[in-house]
Amino acid sequence: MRRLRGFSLLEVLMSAFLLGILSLVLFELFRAGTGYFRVAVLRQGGQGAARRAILAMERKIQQAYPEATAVLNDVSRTVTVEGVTFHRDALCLPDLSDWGDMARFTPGGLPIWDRYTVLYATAEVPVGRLVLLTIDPGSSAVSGPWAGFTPAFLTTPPPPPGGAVLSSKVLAQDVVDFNVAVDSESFVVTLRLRGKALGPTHGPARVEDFEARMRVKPQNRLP
Amino acid sequence: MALLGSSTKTANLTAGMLFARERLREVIEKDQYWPVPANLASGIYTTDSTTQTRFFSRVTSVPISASPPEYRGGYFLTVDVWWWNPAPGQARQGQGILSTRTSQFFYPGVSVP
Repeated sequence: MRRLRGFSLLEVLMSAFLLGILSLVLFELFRAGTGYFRVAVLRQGGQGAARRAILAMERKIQQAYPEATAVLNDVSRTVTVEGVTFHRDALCLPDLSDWGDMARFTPGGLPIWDRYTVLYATAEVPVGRLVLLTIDPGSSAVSGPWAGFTPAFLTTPPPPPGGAVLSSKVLAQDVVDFNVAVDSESFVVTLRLRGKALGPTHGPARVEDFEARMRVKPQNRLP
Repeated sequence: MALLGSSTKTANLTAGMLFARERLREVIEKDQYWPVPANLASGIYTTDSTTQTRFFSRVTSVPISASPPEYRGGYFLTVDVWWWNPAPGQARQGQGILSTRTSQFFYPGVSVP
């Protein structure tokens, strides 16, 4: 008579235990892998956002007329996050309503300015937003810095005297630091964004900062 | 952490390129293209909210002898940028080239778009 051979209870329990351990290890490896992927995506997004905002500002500043620019970067434009002081500066530049409209240029090719652009970081803590406002100054000529560009305007924007805020656009979210310094007629702009993602290990979310700097000089002139 | 090496490198490379461009502009605007200033170091937050990556730059300026006659001489400016994260556990081994470079012809007094 043939004897049927099977597994003993102990053997089955041991294999189930080993399989459980193996599954746990595999699951942890997979979890860590997805965590690293999340962080990599976070970095890619953060760097891209910082770079896009920097490039958008660079074009605006380069097109501007230096004598009509203004900066608010004193202590009133700072915030404190976890004991560290960050800037939330503001910049006002002359602009054109339509850069493609030849009627807005002199025969010599110089722009006939009719708008102001205000770039500023909001003061929310821990992170704010980088906002771009387009201002119509109304009948007043755009030949110098805009008179309505004051700290009060940035906290509660009233309608500009004789004009209007035509559009408001958020250039970047999660802004920690927006620092505008003036050096040899150039603007040195530092933008620091903060991102958060669940990391590859257990514990609190991983916090990463992405910083981009540019040096740009307003290069246009009045007609 | 080795799995994040690639994205760290990309993040540093992006910041390094922006830093190189900023240095190039600074050298031109401050008339430092001849003689060039000494090496410069700057800390930038690239992947960490508490530790800055250290970026170092070196500017090289070469006078151009074969310039167009109307330009009366110019310079070929090169900015080399390399970087390092001072956080413990960071090893250069296996990370490849941790540097970037940008160059530009510059003719003083001539506006080049």
